[in-house]
Amino acid sequence: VSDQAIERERPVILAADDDEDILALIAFRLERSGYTVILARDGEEALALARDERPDLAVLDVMMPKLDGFELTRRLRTDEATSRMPIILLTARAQDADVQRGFDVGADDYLRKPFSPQELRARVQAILGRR
Amino acid sequence: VVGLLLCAVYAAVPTHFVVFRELVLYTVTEVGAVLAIVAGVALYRPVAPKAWLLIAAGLASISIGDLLFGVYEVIDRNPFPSPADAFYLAGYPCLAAGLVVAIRCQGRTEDRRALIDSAIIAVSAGLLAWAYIIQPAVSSDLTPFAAAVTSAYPIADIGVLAITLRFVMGSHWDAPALRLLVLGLFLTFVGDFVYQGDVLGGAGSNTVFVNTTLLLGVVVMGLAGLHRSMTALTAPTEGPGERAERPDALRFVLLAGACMVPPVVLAVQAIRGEKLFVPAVVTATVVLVALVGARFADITGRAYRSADREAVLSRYASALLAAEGEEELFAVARQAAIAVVGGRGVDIVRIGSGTGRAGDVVVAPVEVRGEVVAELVADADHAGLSRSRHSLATVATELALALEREGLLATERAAAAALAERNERLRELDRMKDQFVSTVSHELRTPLTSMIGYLEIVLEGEAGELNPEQKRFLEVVNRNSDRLNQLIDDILFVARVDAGKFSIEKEWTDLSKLAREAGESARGAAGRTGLDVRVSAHDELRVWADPVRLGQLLDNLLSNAVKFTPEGGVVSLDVAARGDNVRVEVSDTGVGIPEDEMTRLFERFFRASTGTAARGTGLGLQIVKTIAEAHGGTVSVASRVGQGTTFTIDLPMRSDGAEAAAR
Repeated sequence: VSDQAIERERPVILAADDDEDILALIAFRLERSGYTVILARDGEEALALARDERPDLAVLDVMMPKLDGFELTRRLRTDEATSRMPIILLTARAQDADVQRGFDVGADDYLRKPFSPQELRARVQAILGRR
Repeated sequence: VVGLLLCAVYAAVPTHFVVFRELVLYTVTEVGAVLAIVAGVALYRPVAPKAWLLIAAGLASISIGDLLFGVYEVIDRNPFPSPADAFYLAGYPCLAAGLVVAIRCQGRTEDRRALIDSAIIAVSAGLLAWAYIIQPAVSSDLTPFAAAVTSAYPIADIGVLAITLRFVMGSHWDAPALRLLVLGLFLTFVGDFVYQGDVLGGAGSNTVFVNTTLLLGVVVMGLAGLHRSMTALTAPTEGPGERAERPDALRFVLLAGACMVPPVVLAVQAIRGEKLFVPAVVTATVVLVALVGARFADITGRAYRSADREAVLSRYASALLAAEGEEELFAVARQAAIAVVGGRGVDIVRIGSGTGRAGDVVVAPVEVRGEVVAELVADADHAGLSRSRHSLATVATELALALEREGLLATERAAAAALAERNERLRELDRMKDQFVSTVSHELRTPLTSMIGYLEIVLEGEAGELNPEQKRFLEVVNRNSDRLNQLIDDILFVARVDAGKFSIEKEWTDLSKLAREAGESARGAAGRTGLDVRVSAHDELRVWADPVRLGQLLDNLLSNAVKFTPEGGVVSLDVAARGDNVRVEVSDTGVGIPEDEMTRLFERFFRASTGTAARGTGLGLQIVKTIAEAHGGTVSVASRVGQGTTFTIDLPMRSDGAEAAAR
């Protein structure tokens, strides 16, 4: 998977959120920073895109229709094709237990809404640069 | 008293005033006794006057016999048998019939114990009568008719004796009148037996004794008829039911003695060398053995039934405990009543239910808190009723107790159900509130995320250069978006505290470091207004606390101070150890808080009147207080209007669990 990704000109990032404006915001910020962003409006679409496109990283909202971010993360982790893909969760939830749950299902990082687009970029770069 | 005097006179008058003595005195006394009984009946009106009237008739018949006998004696002729004997003998059935009526009226016909016991004594007495009166009479040189009349006396005596014993043993005879009646009857038996012994022995030595005893017996019976308690003879009484028999030494001695009669008769005859009455003794013995057997069967049957009823009642008691609801209790009690009497014909009828049947008698009322709510009824002629009366009363009493308990339980259950329902509603409200908080959190933050995110991009110039005025205005938008975000956080915090879902995660935390970080972020906000934020926190200060919450506490206090302090002012934060505590002091040179508003400072959404210009959520201090108290600490405030305010937080350095975590 990673060999395939490295050959790409620009790293591909999957962004999933049921709010169009937020999705556009993520896409704007990350594309400006040199990434290709593919978009999903719900959990199932995100799962399908992740399997088909093998993105280098996923930014997933927790509260999404059809499949929530936690369950989506869990499924991505159990699938051989996406098990090592870095995942950043975005959520409007504020409870610490939710943060813990995000890490428990296998997320790499976590951002609370409202988030700063610059901070998201920095986190993405930190993860992808690390690899 | 008159009768007793007459008796004494009779006994005292010398024998040669025959006419006066035998005819006048004796007859007058006896007629007086008869009239006394009749007068008693007229006066006290007993339930069944027949009983007393039969006794009076018996005595009247005997007195006629005595009169005739007296006449014979006066003319000094003693024919035997004579018409006097006919009247004498007619008297006994009358007495017996009177007693039988009494036993019937008292409702004691079912007492088999008394029946068997009196039969045992009567059989023994019959054997004695046979051996010493009838047999000698039959074998003597009397004509067959004379022998039959002679034999008739002991037979009649024994008959009445048996019924008297039956009455004494099985019936209620506590009343003075009844005791007198029984005494009179026994005096008659004693006189009769002594007289008969005399006649056969051919001696007249006891004549005065015999006649006086007989007369006394009649007088005593007359007295009995005059006593006001004479109505008790025929008054219905409550039977003993099937209660276990009490040990009764006298009765045992009597019965044992009665059973000893046959061997004693044989022994006496053998010693005297007389002819043995083997067939009579054997017959009597067989009858006695049969009666003792019947008595034994009665006792064991009684014990068996008693144990049976005991078991029924015990099962009933546990069934009552298990039953729920009045209907079920009544059904259980009904079954128990049927089991107790061993068949149908009993029922428990609720008062006012209109289901009672004609011909039922009330056996026992079911009384709950002084009110009869139901009645245990039975067919009036129910066979098993008298012996289960006691157990049926127990059924009714236990039902009453169970109904009372049921009433209490129903009240309790209703209260518990209401409480459970209210709890469920509260839980539902709680769930709705949680759901609401979660939804609000998500729904408010989603648009804010776009607002704050796009603003950042615009302010960074990613969407083209901004002129200074545009930039300044957008920064106002940005600041207020942040404020709105903070407000949402604060409201969610308070909502979580209200829902009891606020918890802290303690660990060893350097308070000095937290203070420096808080000062740093406050300076960012204060810099815009030219405030000086000073932090005095140098040495490491380890505290067992939740670092996130303590940071929130410091942020809240500092942002508060910054908000209420005018340009050029000073906000200072000091943290220092004080014994086992750490003290956090946040002072400002701000507007201050009026004294009368100090107590309301920690109320939700309260804002001091001096802070009108400042923007806040009105929740900050409540959050500070909640966090401090969750750590076992306290918050205090000192302020002077126009000079400034100081908040002081004292926190214990270590609390529960600190030692375990330190290892």
